[in-house]
Amino acid sequence: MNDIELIDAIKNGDKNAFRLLIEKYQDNLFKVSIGLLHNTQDAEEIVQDVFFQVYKSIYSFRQEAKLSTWLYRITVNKSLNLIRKQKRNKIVKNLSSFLLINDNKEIEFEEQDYAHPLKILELKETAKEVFAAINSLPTNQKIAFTLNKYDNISYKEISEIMELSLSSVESLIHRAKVNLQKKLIHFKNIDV
Amino acid sequence: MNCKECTEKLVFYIDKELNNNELNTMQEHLKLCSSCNIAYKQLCNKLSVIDKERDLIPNPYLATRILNRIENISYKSNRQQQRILQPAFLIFILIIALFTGFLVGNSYQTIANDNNSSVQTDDLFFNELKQENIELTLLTYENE
Repeated sequence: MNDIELIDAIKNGDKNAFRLLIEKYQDNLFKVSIGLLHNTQDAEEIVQDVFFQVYKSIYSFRQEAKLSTWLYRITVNKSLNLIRKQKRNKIVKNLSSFLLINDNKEIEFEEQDYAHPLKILELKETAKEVFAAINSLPTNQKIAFTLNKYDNISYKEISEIMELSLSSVESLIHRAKVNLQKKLIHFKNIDV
Repeated sequence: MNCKECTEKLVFYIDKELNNNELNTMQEHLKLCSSCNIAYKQLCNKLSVIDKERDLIPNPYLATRILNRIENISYKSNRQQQRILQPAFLIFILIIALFTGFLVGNSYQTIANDNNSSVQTDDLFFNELKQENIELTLLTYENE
């Protein structure tokens, strides 16, 4: 069943078609989401939200864009919204801990920060450094890099998802890689 | 190729995005330069974290969880619809009952009015005749 047939079947109320849609795209959306959030639980939540939104608004989908493009766009937007929300929460929590209102919640937040499976392993420190480097990239660079690196999405499709020109996407990914390289190579022990 | 040029292109070397000429030059430089080789290994090690993260798969029950969530929400919305529709239906029935009541009441009144008016006109003639008769009888009785 291709995407158009899937959409038509879902619009006709076929629940099995919706399950097929989930099974077809959940891994891809999860990869993009985890690439932006670096937390499995959050990434799964985002994937759930994406499919829930798709279920609600499938009747308004006019098929002007590809289904996958539409799905990726929703995933990126939802992931970025969650990052913004988490940043706001972090500021509020830091502020409240600074004002000595609630110390316990600060500890809870730190524990939640270590929920990623890689962080439990010996790679913990390296993973932290790499994710911090990715997170420090400008938003557009981060989105383009994540879509390409985590899900091997072509530059053309990235340009459709981000509504940018192909050359802009190429430039974004190139700059993202250069910036990451600068942040990840430590020249202390290297004689350049 | 010097070390600066080499370290600038390391990430592209790892991603195999260099042309053949650049690739060969890089390979030669990395063989000869230990510091660039360390940088290369360091970067490879760090970027492998991305590969490992990319290989993570979501919970196998994710699809079921999503479908359950949708079912729950549509069930809840159905219940909500029922909660709104049930009283609305009852109010509608009540209004119809009241309206029917008024209609029946009004039509009964009209029939009653029609009947009353015909009775009155009949009675009027009848009474007038009667009165006339009584008056005539009384008058004739008085005269006698």
